[in-house]
Amino acid sequence: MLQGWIIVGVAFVYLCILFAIAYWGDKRSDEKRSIISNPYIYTLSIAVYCTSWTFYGSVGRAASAGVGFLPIYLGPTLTFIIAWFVLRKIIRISKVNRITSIADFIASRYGKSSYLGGLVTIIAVVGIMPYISLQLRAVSTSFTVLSQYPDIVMPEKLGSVSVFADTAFYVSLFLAAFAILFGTRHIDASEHHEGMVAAIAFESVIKLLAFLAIGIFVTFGIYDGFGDIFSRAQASENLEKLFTIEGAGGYSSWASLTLLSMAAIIFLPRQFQVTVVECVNEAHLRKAAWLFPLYLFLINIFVLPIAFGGLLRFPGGSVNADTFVLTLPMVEHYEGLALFAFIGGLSAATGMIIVATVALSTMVSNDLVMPVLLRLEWLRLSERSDLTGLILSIRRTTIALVLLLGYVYVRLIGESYALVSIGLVSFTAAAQFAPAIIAGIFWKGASRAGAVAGLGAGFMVWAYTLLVPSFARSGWLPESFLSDGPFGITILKPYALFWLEGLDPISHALFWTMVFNIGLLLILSLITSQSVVERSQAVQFVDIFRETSGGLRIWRGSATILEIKQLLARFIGRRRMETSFEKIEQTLERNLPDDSLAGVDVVSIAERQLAGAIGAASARIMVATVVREEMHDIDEMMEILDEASQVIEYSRQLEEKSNQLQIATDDLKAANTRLQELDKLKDGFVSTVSHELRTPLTSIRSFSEIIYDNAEMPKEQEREFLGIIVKESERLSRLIDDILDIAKMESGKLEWQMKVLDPKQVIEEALAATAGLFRQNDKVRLLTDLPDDLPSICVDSDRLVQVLVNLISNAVKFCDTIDGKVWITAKAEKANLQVSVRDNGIGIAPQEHKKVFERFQQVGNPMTEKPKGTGLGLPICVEIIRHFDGEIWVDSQLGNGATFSFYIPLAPDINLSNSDRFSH
Amino acid sequence: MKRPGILNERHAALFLFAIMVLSPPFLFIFDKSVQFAGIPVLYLYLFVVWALLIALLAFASELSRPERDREE
Repeated sequence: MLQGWIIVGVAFVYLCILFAIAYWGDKRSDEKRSIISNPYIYTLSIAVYCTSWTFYGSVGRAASAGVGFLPIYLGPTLTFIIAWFVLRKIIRISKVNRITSIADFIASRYGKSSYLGGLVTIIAVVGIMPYISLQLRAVSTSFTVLSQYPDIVMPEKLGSVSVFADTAFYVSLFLAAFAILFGTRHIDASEHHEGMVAAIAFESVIKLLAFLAIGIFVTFGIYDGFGDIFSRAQASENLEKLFTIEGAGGYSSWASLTLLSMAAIIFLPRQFQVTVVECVNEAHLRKAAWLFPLYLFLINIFVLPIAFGGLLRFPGGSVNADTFVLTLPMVEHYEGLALFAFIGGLSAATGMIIVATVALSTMVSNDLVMPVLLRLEWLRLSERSDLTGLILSIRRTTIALVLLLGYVYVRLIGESYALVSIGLVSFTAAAQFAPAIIAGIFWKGASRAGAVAGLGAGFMVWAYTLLVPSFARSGWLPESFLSDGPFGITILKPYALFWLEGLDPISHALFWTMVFNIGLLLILSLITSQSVVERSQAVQFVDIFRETSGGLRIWRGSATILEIKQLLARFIGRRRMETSFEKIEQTLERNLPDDSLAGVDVVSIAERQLAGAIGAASARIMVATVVREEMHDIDEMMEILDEASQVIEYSRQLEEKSNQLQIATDDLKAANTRLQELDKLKDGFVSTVSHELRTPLTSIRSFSEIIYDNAEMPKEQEREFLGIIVKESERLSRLIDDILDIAKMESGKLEWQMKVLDPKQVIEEALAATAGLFRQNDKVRLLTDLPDDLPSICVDSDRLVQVLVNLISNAVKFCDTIDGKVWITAKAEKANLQVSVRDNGIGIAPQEHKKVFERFQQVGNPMTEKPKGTGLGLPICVEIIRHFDGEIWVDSQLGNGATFSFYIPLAPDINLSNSDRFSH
Repeated sequence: MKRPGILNERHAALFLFAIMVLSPPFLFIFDKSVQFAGIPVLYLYLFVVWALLIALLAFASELSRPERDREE
């Protein structure tokens, strides 16, 4: 009763159910009542890993290699043990950066490089193509086998069929329609396809149930439990070798398959799609981490029993082991179960194809086609108002093309390969992404040059050691290509590259691709340097769990909010743009008016939104067109530099100010010290003055008392004493005059009558005033040398006379007591008038020269000699001459007399006779 | 109080354990054509070890749930 139309009808109903579930899932997602947001659906969607290769192929491989099929499932278990720190990191990075595919991830990590994105896309498309065709072949084979019921006939015995009679062709069409409908319904910034995920989860349930049903039927229906099957197999000579690993392909194959599947579970584009891109909540990973290995465990329990059951039931290899799941119920005439097995296989195949084509279409549109189109300036794409239609058509075309290519590959390769071998070819291709991603998320130093070289070289070696041989084995290349190498060059034999023999083709290819891939990635990363964008992305990826990893943008945008909005609307549509911006406003907690400038935060959020629609590399190009990235703008850079240097300048000024303050403080300290000194000096001056005043007073008082007490004192003696009193009184009044003078001069209260005068007149005035002195001391002679034509000086005449009188009276006082001589000379010297008063007295020792101009300092021993002056005469002279801008000094040797000289600048202009100009 | 990051450490330890029990030296021990209760010991070993790993993984993941928010 299993006619063709019944099988087709059941398959059609099954696919309709898939459509219904996908439609329902999308509807619920639009209503914000997601049905997929739980760890169980998430786990089931990851189970898209189990394709028809698992469903049919595991049994096939177990029949020839015993446990050799197991590493494909143990590898993912190993990976999921460390999912919490590898997968979770990838998921978090992808959420933050709105990563939409594995190509996007790698491109984004290595400086948003569109070339790298394109390269990854090409590797993915070429690498996954055999895998998709494998699924198509599995479906068509299973249909053909089932439709021959009740006979068990292998498809290859039926000869080739035309394209239009080929089930695979119709399956391709059907799946293309499904993928287009639910995979490219709309452009979403987060690239979630909830309907598709729901359908995939449903398929995972169906294929698990179907496989368990067959397993239980074979193990407990046909045979009597596990022990029964294995015991019978043990009895069969040629089956016993399958019980050991040695007979199952050896340990090198075991290890390489484990490694391959560890990488494949994350880096196959469809796995990346469901595990990373479609992940709704990264917390689901915690449960999925052990639920998914459990799923794998369950679907594998009955693989060995079915394989041995089939081998025992169909001895001699008349039936392909890949079909045991189907043919065992058929041969036992369980029609319903056979149909269920077919549906299980169908679900395994369709699930994989749908997710893979959607993932590939996203990559092709975002990382291959759009970057190229956007760079073609004559297309003026970046100016078009709405690009959502274009992107969707690119994706839809891609899905159709990928399925078409997959179908062509099936027709080309034919039946020459076992299911598992084709799948492993794709696994090895996907494993090429592992070094770039793992290094990318844990090592900041991994550079774009390294990633490009590693991926490129790995891909080329893969193509040479696995893809090209598959053509040779299918007869499209001469057989000698494999056995002797191209043109007989044995070092280049695809299965024994560089004479590496003894490994199975997969281990061989894995080894060489990784040698080149990892080697070049490491070497080039270590010897090349990263660009700014690359470095900032590297830091953001590696340090994703650190707080505030919002990118290291230092440029400032010059785009308005409106421009950013328009840009977003062009790619994701106006309605979605508006909801996006509402969200942005909520997160940033501020309003974003259209005409305001978009800050770095807004631009970077918008860029990520855009990245969700068209990929990181394209988004970067697009944002750059609007934002006119100021990073390259030399003016802006200068401004940033300028600001920096302003800050530096400011801090320099601060430093200077503080230095100045320090200096001012030092000055103040010095001034304070000086003040304290002056205060001491003042005290000293006061005490000196008191002392000087007391001397004549004491003298006056004692002589007065003597006269008062001795009334009978002789008249002469009385006169003598009175004379002393008069003299001392004069000295006292002179002293007081001098003190007043010097005090006035120092405080600046003295009034100066500055006039332009003939110095000769002044000198003669002084001589007249001292004429009395010379008359009293008749032993002293005055000698003058005063030219008549002395130039004028500007002085206060009274004060100058005071100076001269002082000097002359000193000279008279100290000159030789027997033959005293006093010389007065005056002469014009350069711009000065120099006047000298010389005597021939005892002279002054050179060490005393300075001292004589100090106050109350008198030459001679004050204890033994009676003071001859007030001790203030010369200090007053110093003050006066200094006031005239001149200088006074003494030349003298002990015993040779002394010459006191001073100079006064000449009057600047004779005509300036107006005295007021100089009065102070 | 549990140390933060204990979840990562447990998973890392479990990963090393898994690598060890699935590595050739351990497989050599069971890689013999001997049956236990009718089932080849290699098959039995692999599936039992696999089940054990999943159980330990579930244990490690689920037990430290309250610590979840403090991870990393």
